[in-house]
Amino acid sequence: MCPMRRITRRSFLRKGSALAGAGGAAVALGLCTQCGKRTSEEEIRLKPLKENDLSRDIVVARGEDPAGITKAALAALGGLGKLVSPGDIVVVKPNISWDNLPKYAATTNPDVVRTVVELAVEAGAAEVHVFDHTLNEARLTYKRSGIAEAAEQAGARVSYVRGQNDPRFREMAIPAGVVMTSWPIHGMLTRADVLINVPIAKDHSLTRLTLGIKNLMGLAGGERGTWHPDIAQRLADFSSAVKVDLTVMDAYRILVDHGPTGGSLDDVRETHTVIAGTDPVAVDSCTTTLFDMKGEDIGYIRAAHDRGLGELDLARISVREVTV
Amino acid sequence: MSRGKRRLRLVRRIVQVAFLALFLYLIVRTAEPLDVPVPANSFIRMSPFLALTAMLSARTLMVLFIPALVVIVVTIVLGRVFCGWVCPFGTTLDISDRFLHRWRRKQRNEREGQPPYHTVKYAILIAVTVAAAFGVQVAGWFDPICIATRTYGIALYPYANFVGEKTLHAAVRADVLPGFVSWVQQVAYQYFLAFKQPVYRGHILFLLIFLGIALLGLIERRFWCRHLCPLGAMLDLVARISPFRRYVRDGCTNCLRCQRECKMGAITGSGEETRRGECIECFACDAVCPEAVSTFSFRRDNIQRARSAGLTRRGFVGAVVGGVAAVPILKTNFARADGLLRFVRPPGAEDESEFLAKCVRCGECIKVCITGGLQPVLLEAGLEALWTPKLVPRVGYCEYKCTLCGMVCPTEALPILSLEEKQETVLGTAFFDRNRCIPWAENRNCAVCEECCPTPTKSIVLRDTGLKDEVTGEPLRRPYVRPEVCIGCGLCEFKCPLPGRAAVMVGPVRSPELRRRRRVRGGDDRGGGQQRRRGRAGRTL
Repeated sequence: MCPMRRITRRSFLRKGSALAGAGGAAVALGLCTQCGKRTSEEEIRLKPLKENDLSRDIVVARGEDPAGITKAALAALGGLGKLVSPGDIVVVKPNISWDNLPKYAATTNPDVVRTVVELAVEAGAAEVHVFDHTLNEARLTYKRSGIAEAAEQAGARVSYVRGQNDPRFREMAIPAGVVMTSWPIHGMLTRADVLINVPIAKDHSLTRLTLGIKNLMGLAGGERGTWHPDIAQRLADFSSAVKVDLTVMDAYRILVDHGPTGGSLDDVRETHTVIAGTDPVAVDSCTTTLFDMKGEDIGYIRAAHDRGLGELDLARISVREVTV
Repeated sequence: MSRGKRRLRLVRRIVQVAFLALFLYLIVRTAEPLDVPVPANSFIRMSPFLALTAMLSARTLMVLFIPALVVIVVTIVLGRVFCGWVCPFGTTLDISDRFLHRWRRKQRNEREGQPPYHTVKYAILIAVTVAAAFGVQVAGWFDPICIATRTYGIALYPYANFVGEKTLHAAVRADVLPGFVSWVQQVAYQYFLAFKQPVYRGHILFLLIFLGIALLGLIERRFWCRHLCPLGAMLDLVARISPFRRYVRDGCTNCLRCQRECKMGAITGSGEETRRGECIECFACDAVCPEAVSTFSFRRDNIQRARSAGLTRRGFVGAVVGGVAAVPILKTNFARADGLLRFVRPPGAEDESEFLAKCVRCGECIKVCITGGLQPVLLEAGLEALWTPKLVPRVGYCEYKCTLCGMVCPTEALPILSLEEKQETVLGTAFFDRNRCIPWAENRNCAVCEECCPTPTKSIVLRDTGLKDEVTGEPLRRPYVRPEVCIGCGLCEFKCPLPGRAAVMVGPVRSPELRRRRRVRGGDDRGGGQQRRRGRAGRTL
């Protein structure tokens, strides 16, 4: 057995100070991991709407090639250069929520996403970010939807959202909120200059249709399921804070039943259409006609319209049709 | 002292570290997209102890265990090189023993012979094998590869991930060297960090078991390997016929340095005799021999052979009786008699008895599960089901187009399913608690469960009630389950927005005829990376 080591003053001081130093470093590191959480509310602010010279019309483009009609629709609005300035940070928000192939029309058409990203890059965007807070496992949906590959090829930075508690979600104020005055929202929206919403039009049991405004839920963290009883008001609140500069609605294929997940080709209609415009309510309202509905039929379109977020009445929307 | 001999020990250490590194790499990468160069379950399939017991209890020939056969052949020729050079748990203990060096009690005098507990390993081997012959599979509780897999995969990896992730987040927030930090973060997420922080039930138990085994190193180095390991006992018995032996040339001064150095206690008497079955060919004796007379060779005239210890007749009979006794003790399972099995097994584990006979409780499926929903069973299904996997949908559901668990299962307790088979594999059936469900209990619309249901025609449907939502005034619709379509994936339970217990839950399959389903769609859905890249080849040899 080794003899008991005597504790001298020297060894006590030496070991004691080493221990104290190590403990102090650990505490400092621990505090460091916590410090970011105390950032004051004023520092984080969602991006405002960007001033732009795009046409205020709603463009409905039809044709066989999804990339072609996307290009045509944006050209008819005046070109993405009128929205995206050189050096801008652009967020392109497709629907990547479901683990299905593009042909089942549960996720945005990858060619539409690719084209929007390409045009944003062409317009001089410094960074184009593509992400979605998915419902199915993101690693599968990003792949199977074809969107991650398409967006990356076009020059976007594709990132995962790691669940509803991803640290990039920050509690943000919704000043005009009626039922919801704050919610965790993706931090990229505080950095970005431009938000381009690229939803897919499809059936949804609760809201009847999931369109552009509903697609914004992918920017929200937290337990989004709790929105459902008040979904229309919640979506109106949310879209009052999250400013969409441009909506490019993918209606190349639409899902008419068993949405929003899909999985059967029987429920898919080939409508070969892209609808684009700066007014998110008007684009959604226009898109309902593909399902033989009206804007008034959809609760959240009504609610958003009532809050003054856009026009619902088709008679008061100027629609330009383009065929490729 | 010869330099060449020292080099052999160095080579052995390098090989050990390399195998441990490979093992850890495979543990970390046992996750989507499972893009590993060798099968993720390679090490488990190298254990002849698991191979023997699994085949006995399941009464099937398991081709997946060919690596275990290779280990047996190597052991016949060269002895226990697996223990000394390959076993990740042995290497782990070598490392922990090194840290315990200061506090270890004085080395036993080897001339006293082996301690009385030395034969425990043979007793475990025999008892577990006998139990397996009667269909009770508990080898995974004792197998060192399984213990290592659970220790690293279910306890230590989540801790490491936690520290790594939090440190990186702190660095991101502190905004020092943002470009470098985000690059490190990207690389870390790609190669080391989990997609989301894994949380496993009872992980502290696995940590404590490991610490207990490691602390036995205070008594002797490799205490586990010497006295307890049933895989070691099995290789010990095989290695006794190996022609490759330690041999001491003329000139030995009986300084006993080799005996003190031997971590297995394999060198006896005057230092010239070796217990063949105990030697794991670490070549420490060669390295320390001052006269350079300790060597290994295939010489046939080697007579310096010490009698290897073994079970006494009484010990042998005791082990057999113990193994037989374990059968009624474990099989008299109140949880099953009471119909208490209220949980859901991973996809493809259809017959509970067959599943329990095949599963070696290694934890691979739990580690690989893409949603983190697979969790170790503790005692809720009886002792016989300890550490088998179950789905806890509130933590994570069974992803509709994921087949990972079957791809890493070393015994096909979870079969390899094609994407099409997976989508028609029924795990359980969902049911509603109408006292909690928002549309039923509060007359408010909800529909989250219906919305996310992945079956193409929806296993949860909404029906009009003629009532109005109490707040919005919209028509109130309430959800119902269609058991004939439901596969029990638990996504509805996972997503139910109620706090705490969900209002829709997945229980066992309602009736056996709901198990197999007509194919729901054509076989053209191969967009996902994991299936396309690995396919069934992920398991071939």
